[in-house]
Amino acid sequence: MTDDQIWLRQQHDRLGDEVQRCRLSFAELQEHRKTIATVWNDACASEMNGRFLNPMAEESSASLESLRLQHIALVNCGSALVEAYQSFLQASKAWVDVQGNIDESAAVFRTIESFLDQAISEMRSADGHANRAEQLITDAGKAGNSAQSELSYRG
Amino acid sequence: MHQGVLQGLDVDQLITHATARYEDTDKHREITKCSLLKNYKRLVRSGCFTDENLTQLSRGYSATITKGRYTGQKMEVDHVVPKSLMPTLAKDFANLCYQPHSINREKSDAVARAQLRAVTIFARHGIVPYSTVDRVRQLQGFSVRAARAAMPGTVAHLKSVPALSGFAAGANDPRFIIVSLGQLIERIADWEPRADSALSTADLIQRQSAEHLKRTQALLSQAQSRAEDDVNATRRLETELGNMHSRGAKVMSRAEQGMDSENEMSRRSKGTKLHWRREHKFAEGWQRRAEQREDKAREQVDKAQEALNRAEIALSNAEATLERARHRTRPSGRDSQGKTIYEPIDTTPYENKVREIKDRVQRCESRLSTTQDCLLQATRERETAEARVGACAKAVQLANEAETAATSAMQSAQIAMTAVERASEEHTRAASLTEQAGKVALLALAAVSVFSEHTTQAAAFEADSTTNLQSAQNHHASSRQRSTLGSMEISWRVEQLRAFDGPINEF
Repeated sequence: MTDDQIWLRQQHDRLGDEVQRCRLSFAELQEHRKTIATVWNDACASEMNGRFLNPMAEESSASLESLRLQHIALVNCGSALVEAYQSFLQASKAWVDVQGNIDESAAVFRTIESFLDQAISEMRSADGHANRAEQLITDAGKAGNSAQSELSYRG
Repeated sequence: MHQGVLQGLDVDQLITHATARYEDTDKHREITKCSLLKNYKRLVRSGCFTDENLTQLSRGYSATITKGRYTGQKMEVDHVVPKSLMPTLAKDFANLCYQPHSINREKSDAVARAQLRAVTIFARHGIVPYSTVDRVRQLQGFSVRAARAAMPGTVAHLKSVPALSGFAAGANDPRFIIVSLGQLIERIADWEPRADSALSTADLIQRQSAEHLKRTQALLSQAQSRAEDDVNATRRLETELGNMHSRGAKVMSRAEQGMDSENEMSRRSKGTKLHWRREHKFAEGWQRRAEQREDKAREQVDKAQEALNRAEIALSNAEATLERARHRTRPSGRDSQGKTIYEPIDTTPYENKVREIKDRVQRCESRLSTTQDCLLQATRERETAEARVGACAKAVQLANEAETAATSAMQSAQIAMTAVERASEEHTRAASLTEQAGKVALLALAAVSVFSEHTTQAAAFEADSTTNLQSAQNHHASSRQRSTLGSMEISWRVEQLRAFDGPINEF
């Protein structure tokens, strides 16, 4: 894990702790409401509960539940990002190998080119020598045959 | 005050004794006492009476909170009703409240329900005129959230009123209801900033996660581009390898043809050289024989010439003899006078002799002519043979050069062949490397694909968390609205209860 990922995970933990503390505080508040319900249960209490406190509790409960779900989603998001980064590291390692192979291949290609160029050059040289040899053979024939007016000399 | 407590004095009596010297109304002193007592308890709870803090306080500096959620912050003195609003209460202990630094900064000089309530209480007890209440009411609404941070201290005054202590519990008893509702308002006031803080933290971490996701997506984009580039690069390598293979095959074919051709040329040059050496040898033999024949012919010519010379001398002698014979006479009788008659002698034998010698000269001349022809032929043959020897020698020399050139051609062809073979070996190595590069590039592509999947999942989770955060914020806003209105309503009702209830009304 990178420092960023560790830091983000710490942030998620921090959020989880804060949400948890918030839940406890909310629970204490609701507990207190239950406690004071024994001394405050007149019409005013019903009205206050009905108009403000119960809706507030419902909304707060929903808000806390959404925060809990958000925290879970963020933790999952963080885990997915960590796994994604692991895949990236694997890909990065593979890229290094690929680049090494590509560079080495390119070097080998240059060597092959060099050998082929040398071969072509030598073949041209061989052709030149061969043409000269051919010409010399022809010249030798001409030179030798130029004085061969009769063949009876062999006897 | 703390020193007094350390020496065993009762803090309540201590404050009573201290405030008794003030030339204020009893109500004012009571409120001041409540305020001091509450602030003292707050300082104790916050751990502000450590040795280090006592030293700081004795020097006129702020104490540092060592306990609770605001640990590490400075404990500052705050005005419940801002000094800018009520300068006359700036140094009134009843209007002073200890607050952590962050809360004090957040509240600043905002005017909210807490301030309105405190000013109302102050006005009711003659500490400030009622016109101030109207003024505060007009200003109310600015920075409500910040102002609510000051609520605990203010509400605590209500809770700590001594007149409320010692009552027996009972359902719907106004005194207990006032205390309980005060505690309820305090807990709500405590809950609200906590929830605000949680929402704020959630929003912050949401944005941080989104930023992290954004960076990861940017990284993914780069990775995808890189992976595609690598795959394309390996494909180009494969194409180049194919081209190299084709070129190598052509060069190899040409080199093999060249080897065959140069082999043939070498064989031909050697054959030519052997041929002309043999021809040279034959020509030399021919030359020798021609020279011998010429010598022999020349000898025959000399002999024929000598014979001719001898025949010509004999002819000359015979003709001279014949001439002399023609002038010689012999007596053949006497004439009438008695003179001896002479007659020419018979020259026939001499003539025959001359004729015979002439024939001989002719034969010698013919013989000489024949031998001279033979000599001429022999000389020509000898010259031809000499020319042939020279030509063959030249041909041998050229054949030698041709053999040298063919050898050089062969060597070049062999070097070319070796180079092609080494190129072929390197091509095999390059093929292996290219294949390996292709496999690894595909592995990288697969890893990037997994990377993409995880990033997509992360994006989905992030979107989900964003939705949940929005939902939480909406619910929280609704909750805050209810709690604010509820707190105000309950506070108002508590005030009504207080106004209604005699003992509490002393406050």
